[in-house]
Amino acid sequence: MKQNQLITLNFRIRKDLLAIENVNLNQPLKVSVQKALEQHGGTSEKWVVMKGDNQLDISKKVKDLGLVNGDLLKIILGGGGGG
Amino acid sequence: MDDPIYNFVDPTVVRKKFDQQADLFSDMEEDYRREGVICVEIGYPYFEFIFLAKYASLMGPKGSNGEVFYRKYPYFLFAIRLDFSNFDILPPSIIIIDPLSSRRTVKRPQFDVVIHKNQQMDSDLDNQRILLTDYKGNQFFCLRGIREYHDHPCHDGDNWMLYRYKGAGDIITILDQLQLYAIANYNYQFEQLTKKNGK
Repeated sequence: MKQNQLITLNFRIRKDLLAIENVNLNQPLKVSVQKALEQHGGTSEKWVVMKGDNQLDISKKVKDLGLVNGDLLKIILGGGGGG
Repeated sequence: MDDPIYNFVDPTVVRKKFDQQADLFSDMEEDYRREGVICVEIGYPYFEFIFLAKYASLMGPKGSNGEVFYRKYPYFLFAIRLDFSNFDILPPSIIIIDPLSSRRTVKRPQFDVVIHKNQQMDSDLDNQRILLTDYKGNQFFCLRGIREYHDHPCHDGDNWMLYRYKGAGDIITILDQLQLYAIANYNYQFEQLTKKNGK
């Protein structure tokens, strides 16, 4: 039954698409995001994760965010500004 | 009247880079549209977009228990022209436009576009407003990767050339950031408001 708790999440970092497989529904989303960033080449920049037009709380568990197999999330990095 | 743009970069190069941006965007156009970022015109060297939030904070009639209901429908936030003149020797420029006339407008959106503290990516600053007004009364986005930010004397230590090869001026990067700081934040505020009112 444990297999049922593993899903694949797709991430878009700028124009690049990455798939992170075997994501445990009980893990915080932050774990998968870190893997996606590592696959992308790593970054020292801070980042924010969105699904559609909503920002996600990455400290929450994947299942608590309502994410399902195949969902596409955006990792937005390198921003800044304001005054 | 907008200031004329002096084109000093070889137009063949700018055209090629503009076409690359158009290709990047076309791959994701449908996703953006569903999420409230709608392209209304592509006319070299610029794109025009309308940004819509999902909800409006308009109150409907009260329920029998006094609870407040909200009508939900697309809500116009602002329209922009994203101009790639002289790209990428210069970063792209953004002006706020009237979506009906396609001309620059000084009318401010009815909400603040803000980078919240938990969205700060290069500092631990508090909330920062990013839709500001210049000395001519024009609104501009004070956002890294945008020409108006890098041209501003307050940011002369944060040169565009530091970010040019990192994709900071790519159409996707810019749309994602505006979507986050404008649409996502608006939606979040609206959801908090509806929760507070119990519906």
